[in-house]
Amino acid sequence: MATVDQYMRAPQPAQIPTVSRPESTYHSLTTFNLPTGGDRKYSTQFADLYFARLALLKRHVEATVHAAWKDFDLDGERATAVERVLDVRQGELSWVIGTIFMDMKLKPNILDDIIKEAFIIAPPPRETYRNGDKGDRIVIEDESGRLPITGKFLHEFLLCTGCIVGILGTENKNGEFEVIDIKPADLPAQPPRWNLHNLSLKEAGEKPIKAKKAKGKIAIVSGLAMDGHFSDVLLLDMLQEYLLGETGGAQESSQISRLIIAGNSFADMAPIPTREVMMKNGSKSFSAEPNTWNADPTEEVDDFLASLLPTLPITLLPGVSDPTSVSMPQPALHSAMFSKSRLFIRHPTEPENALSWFDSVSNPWDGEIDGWKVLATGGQPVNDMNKYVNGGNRLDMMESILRWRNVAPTAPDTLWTYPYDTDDPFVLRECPHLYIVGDQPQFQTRTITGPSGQSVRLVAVPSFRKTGTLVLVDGETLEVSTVQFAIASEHKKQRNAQRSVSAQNTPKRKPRPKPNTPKNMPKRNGATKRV
Amino acid sequence: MDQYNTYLATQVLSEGQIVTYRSLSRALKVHVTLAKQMLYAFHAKESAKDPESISATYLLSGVLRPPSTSESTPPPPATDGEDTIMESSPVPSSWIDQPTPYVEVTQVTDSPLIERVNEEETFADSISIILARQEELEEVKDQFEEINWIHVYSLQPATPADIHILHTANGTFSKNKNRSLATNDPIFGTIQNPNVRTRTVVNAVPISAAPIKGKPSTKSAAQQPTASRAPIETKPAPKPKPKSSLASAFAKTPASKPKTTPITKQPDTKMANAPTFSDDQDEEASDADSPPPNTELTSAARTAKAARQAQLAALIDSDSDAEMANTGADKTPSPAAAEEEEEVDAMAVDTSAALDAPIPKEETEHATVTNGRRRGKRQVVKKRTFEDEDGYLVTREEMEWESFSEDEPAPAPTKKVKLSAASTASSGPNKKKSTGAPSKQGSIMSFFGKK
Repeated sequence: MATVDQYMRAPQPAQIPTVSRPESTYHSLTTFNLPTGGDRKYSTQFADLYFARLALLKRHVEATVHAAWKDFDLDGERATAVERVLDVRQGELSWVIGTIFMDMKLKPNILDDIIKEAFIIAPPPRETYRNGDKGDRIVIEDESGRLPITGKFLHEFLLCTGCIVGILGTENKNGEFEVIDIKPADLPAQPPRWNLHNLSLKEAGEKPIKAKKAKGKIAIVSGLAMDGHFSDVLLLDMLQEYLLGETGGAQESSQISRLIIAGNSFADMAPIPTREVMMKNGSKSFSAEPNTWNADPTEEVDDFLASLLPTLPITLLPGVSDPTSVSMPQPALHSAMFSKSRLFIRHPTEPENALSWFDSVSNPWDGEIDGWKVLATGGQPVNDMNKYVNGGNRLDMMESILRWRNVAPTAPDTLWTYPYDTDDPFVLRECPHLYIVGDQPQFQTRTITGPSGQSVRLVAVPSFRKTGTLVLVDGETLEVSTVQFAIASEHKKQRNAQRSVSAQNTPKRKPRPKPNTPKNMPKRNGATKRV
Repeated sequence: MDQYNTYLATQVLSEGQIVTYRSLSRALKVHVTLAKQMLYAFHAKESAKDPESISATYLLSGVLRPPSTSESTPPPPATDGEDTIMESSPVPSSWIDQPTPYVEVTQVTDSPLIERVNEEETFADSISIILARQEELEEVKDQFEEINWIHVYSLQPATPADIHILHTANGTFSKNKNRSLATNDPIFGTIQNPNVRTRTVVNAVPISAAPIKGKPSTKSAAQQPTASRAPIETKPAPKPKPKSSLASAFAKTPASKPKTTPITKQPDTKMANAPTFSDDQDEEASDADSPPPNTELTSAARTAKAARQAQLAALIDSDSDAEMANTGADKTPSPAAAEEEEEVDAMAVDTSAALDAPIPKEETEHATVTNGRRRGKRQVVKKRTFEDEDGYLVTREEMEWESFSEDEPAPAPTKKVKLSAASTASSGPNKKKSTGAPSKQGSIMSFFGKK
């Protein structure tokens, strides 16, 4: 039946078998849900977040660092541990643990914002906080104080504000710490597969399963960017038809057992306009104006979801352009916006363990799909981190985030964050099997491994509107494949553009002798396996 | 079977419409595979007669051939092509198809930064799905190394200058597509999912009279812990709120009621355990379709009751203002949304002060005036008291919509007026006696149940 000409022939009425999807075993966690109602307080200081983070992570870094450096020997001098940053003695080889802070000239500054409002010529928005390494200062800090760090090896490590690391070196006569090596806490323990599922079975008084095969694939898309104008929506139509199984190849798309939308379903619906947008519109108010409220994007998203939901369970994460809070963690998109899709959301009065077929979740979000622990974000932490890094690979950043055990390291410095006071939920307690980051410039994937046998599949998902990419992850093997949607006339233009660019850049290319060590990777214990 | 020729001739040739395989399958209620074949056959027939008269677009899927750049280090089988990726532009699928030797790739980004990307990490098995116009078809086919399937996507009288216009054909049935998709999926060939789960609790309280007999169903028992975690429960003892929306509604409505008004009331008997796919508009329309049993209530009795309810309302903390604000994201808070919040609200109220039999209260009205008769729907708060598992008497307030019609136009309706075309079609005044006995009560289930 599956011949190329199946559809290119005269109509033959025949009983066409109905196709159905495999089940998606799914458990959603509420790690990143904010307190509700009056318990949500914005009066605390952000410094508490740093204290909580250091307190939570210090012992883990200590364990890793101690194992690595206890026998470190430099010209007969043994390295010693120093408890606090300010206790480092000049000339002694030692290691210390603290939070990295990067003092950069181009970082957002409240004074700059005032300048922007007061003067006509405002500085352009920053693509990066790096200022050619001129005037940028890196310090390590803990409760006791700050210590500037320096050294010729420093540029080999990927660092950004907020990551907690151990550093090895000596203090020089300028009072700066000369770094020899830097180590993160590395990946936390990884739960066994089907962990949450078995826990829930146990709760229900059923027997836990030992080995179960997942038959389906997890589809991931990001950046649907619906604006309610219904222009350039043919790609979305194609995606919808493919997921519904109405295009050719229904067998193939019937393998998809769940859709994850990793942020930016809306094109431009963030509740707080950027300063640049406001300047352009001449508006002085941050609040959304009810008379200019446009419900079309919401309806478009709702229609899209509602058409898929009868056949496909969906997990929806908000992203930077979605109508929810702008600070991390972003609360789930409210069900009131989805008047049609709402029927598939768990009713507030239903028991909490009831499955939401349409799960509108927080960003970041974690849960268990087909037995695998999944961590997903709409992309803001990685995109913000990119501004600290001089030309990094997004996968390196994702890997660092996991090895630092911090889902949003640059929060609260340059990433808007809810002011947690006693806890930092961004600290990674359990190592995921699958780490999904939306809103990235291009599709990339890699498998990393940890010191105690952890294995994580990293997936960077590009914007669908820009690239037409749908990512499929096999529910059993976590192997990744993609489906590319394109329109021929536009596709051709892109190809030509690429060819011309590649022609220009040809001389710059040089073969890389050793593929496995990108220079800006943090040094690590576990080997990196690329698949 | 052959009606497709007539249909396509009318739509495409005479009226100049775009017909996609989807719109054809919906229009003729046939499987999409069949619709694709119909488009193909019709296109073949017509273009044999006059190639200018009709134009087709095609959808192709398969594995793309790598782009033909010639420079290369010794490539792995059948590939070459280190290429450069523009960060801000799509990664062509052709790129992703091939394992390539490790090369340093210079990225041209829209930021001044240069990203180093390991090429292998952009690699994955990839299939491409490409939409092509008739005249591009051969060229596109050449790009494919292997074609999995190809079918006609749409037919139109002339090649569209802007291919995105094809969306309009899908848009014609998209307004009711959710409903048709849900109910008729297998006909159209949409993938089925046996595990689909919708809300089981659309209404907080079961409709049956069982709870009133002192035996709450397991469902309502199960809901109680959930209700107790609602934010409103954490608040201290209820305070009377003169400005709450409930109380103000009670105060206004009796004044606006004319004397001896026949009321049509629609009790709800359906329990929508089965998944329903109707939205609110559907519901209103279907409400209007079925002739409901009607009730009559004298104004005197109503005003007396309203007075009592005003007192009761004072006892009950209805933080509905705060609760409603949560749903404010919606442009017009739909009844269902409001009711959800109200349900939680009402369930939080557990007072033995209200032991009376259920009493209807008026909340809001949506009315239209046609031919001197005022017809519409209004939201009514009803009270139900029953004994729960632990032997406590539990009183609950439920929001309910009922349709009504009156002889004369009333003064301006209360604050939430929504003129609804569907509600104008509400049924005539079939009269039936009712004193608002518990068994006659409906609930918001009427919104979700199919009529």
